[in-house]
Amino acid sequence: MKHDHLSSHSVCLGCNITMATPLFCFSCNSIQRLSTKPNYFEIFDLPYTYNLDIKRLEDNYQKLAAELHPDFYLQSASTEKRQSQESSSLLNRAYTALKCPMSRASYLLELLSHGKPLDERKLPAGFLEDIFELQETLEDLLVDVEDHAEELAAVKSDVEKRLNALQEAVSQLFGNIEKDPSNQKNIVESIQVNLNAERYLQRLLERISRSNQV
Amino acid sequence: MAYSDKVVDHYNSPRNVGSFKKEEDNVGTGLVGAPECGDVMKLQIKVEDNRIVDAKFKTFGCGSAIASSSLATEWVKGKSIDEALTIKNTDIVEELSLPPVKIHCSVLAEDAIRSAIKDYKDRRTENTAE
Repeated sequence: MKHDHLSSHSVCLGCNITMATPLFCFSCNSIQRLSTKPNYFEIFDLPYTYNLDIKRLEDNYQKLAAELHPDFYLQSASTEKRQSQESSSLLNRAYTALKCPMSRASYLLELLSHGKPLDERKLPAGFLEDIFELQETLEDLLVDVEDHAEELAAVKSDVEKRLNALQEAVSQLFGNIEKDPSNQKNIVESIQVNLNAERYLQRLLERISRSNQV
Repeated sequence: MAYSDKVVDHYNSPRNVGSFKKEEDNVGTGLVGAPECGDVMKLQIKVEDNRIVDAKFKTFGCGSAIASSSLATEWVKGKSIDEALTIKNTDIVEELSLPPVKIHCSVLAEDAIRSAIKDYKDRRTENTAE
């Protein structure tokens, strides 16, 4: 894992120019053959960081999606045709993974832990008890959604607050890794604990929003 | 994906839903969660003379998680603590014909049994120590 916030850049196979993304050369307008799976951050020419410039992610996504779309390669050689399909689908996977804070954090942890599995069960102390209580409260309120609209809104905002607090903590922890790389292993574990907790809160929010649609 | 008849049966008429007072001396409580899907499962046992005389559960989750915990309460009732510890998630998978994507629900139920028994034992040691 690099901490200098710079991604390594690939060189175009056609014109030898250093490219901003390994998927496409904007200098000679050629789709690139991929031999290894590029890093998601490198695809969008972004630094390896949790606190991402979302606007830049979106702009670069649009730009690349427009160049790589398989429709433009219908008349091309079969290798290019196939490459456009593969690169487009890789581009979409990378975009989805980086756009959402939770999956972006998971992806970064995957890079930081070098594929070593992290403990997905560990939660902050007392957290599961809180979730169980919230679920019980919800269960009572969902019996009559219209009658309990206000209370439901209150639970929702409580859950959202908890989620925001966890995301804020995750953001700080990622910052700590950059400040204190020697402590990386412990910090990575703490981030994972927070992410595990976020998933339960997300689940609660989904349950609340489903009830509102009924 | 269709649920098996047994899952549907447990889902529609879950056995032993409810709770005991967790402070009671002869009650053990297991609270476990599935990180994959955010399901939460509480399983409680009531023990007399080393035998589980009653069990209750409450699960917030999918049909398979509810069926797995419902079945788990049925199975532990009447068993000694040691016998209950031999219940394996694979037994639950087989009984409910759970598909591979739902195996973690049965793991959750096994974890819940173990953690309820552990809680019961821990609290007894605490009480005898006093």
